[in-house]
Amino acid sequence: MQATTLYSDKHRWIMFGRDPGKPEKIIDTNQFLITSGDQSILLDPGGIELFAPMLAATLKYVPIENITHLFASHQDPDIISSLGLWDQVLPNAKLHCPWLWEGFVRHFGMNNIEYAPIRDQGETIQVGNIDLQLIPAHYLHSSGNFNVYDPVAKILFSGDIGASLEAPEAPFEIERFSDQIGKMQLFHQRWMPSNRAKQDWIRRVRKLDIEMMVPQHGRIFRGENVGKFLDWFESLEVGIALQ
Amino acid sequence: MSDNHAKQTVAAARIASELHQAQQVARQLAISSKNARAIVLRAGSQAAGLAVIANFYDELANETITLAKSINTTALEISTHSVVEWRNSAALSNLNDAYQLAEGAPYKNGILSFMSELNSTQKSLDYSFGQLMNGLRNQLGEIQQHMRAIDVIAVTSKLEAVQTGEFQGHLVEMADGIQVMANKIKEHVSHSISLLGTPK
Repeated sequence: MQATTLYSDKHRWIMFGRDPGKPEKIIDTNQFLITSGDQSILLDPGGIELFAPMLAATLKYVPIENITHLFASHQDPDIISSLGLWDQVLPNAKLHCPWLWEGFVRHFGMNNIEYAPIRDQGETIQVGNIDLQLIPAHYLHSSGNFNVYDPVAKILFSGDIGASLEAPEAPFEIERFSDQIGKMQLFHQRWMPSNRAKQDWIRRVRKLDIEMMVPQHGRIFRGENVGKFLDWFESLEVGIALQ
Repeated sequence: MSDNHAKQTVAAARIASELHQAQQVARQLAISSKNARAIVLRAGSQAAGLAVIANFYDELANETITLAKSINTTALEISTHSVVEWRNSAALSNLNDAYQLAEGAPYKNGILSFMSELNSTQKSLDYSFGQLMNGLRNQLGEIQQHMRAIDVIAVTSKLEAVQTGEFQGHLVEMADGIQVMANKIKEHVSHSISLLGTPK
């Protein structure tokens, strides 16, 4: 599992992905660890197949007891099917996940971790010394869906928004936005069902001060690429399966 | 045992299904034994010896139903237990992998206590699994014994039926039917035992 530090000051963001040992037919995913003081949160900790390399990678940065929070942007297996295994090693952690998915996500196995349902309108959670905003992104691409915004690091974890499928050796960061469009377009058109939901999210996100937008698949958007993505997404017709 | 969890879970579920079918047959057996008793009553003193036999049928059929129900419960417990064990061993195997992969990670020893806890849970799950399996084997063995007893009683009752004059044909036919049902139950039980595999 490759790791890269996205932000490091009083708290730290680490991105994991491009696992060389990943089974061939599962989709490549990005996982994020935010550490602050003696607490940490894993954002979309990944599928069951990735648990061992993810745990190993995490232990390079924090002791296991410092992982006190998990966040699942939605219910999909590549996001959170590892829950039953994290549950065995995190006896005192909370899982922040849309309230809508509680009855489903618990099927992954959850005896110890506490389910902290996120209300539809979003909320702010404290991890160590930082406040993370859970921003609604419903229907993009799940009916209950959230992003995570860190106003200090100015990073938006955008889940499946901005996602692209990449070769295993692909770099973590987008170089030229125009090269990325072909890798994103069909995914966004097919997996995001509502233009109205899309516009609502864009309006909300334009108000945030974002230096980096980091999706759960593919590459990071930094600086002006964030704005380019928002403009491109704004004009993209989604929900094309009905056309 | 850990590589066998899926097979054990499925085997236990299949045994529950076999025994469910055996239970249906045992219900028919219980009805037949009640019919046998009615004929014996009608035959009066000519069939006095058969009265005890009919009672035996009834008793064994009812015990078989109770046993089959209890085996169903045990099989379900084994299935559930097997899934817990399966998950536990998956967690342990993943932690072992993580520990190997985390070479050089400063915090890797933090998972050792979880590995040791999972190991000891695994041992205790193995032990209770063994106990459940032994219990299941004993219960299945008991049903087999019942069916053998019913078979013997059916043969005896056919011999006794000779003395019942006009009722002989009826009683022999009934005893034959009871033997067929007992054999069906035996088949379900034998199949269940074969699903359990060789005891360790």
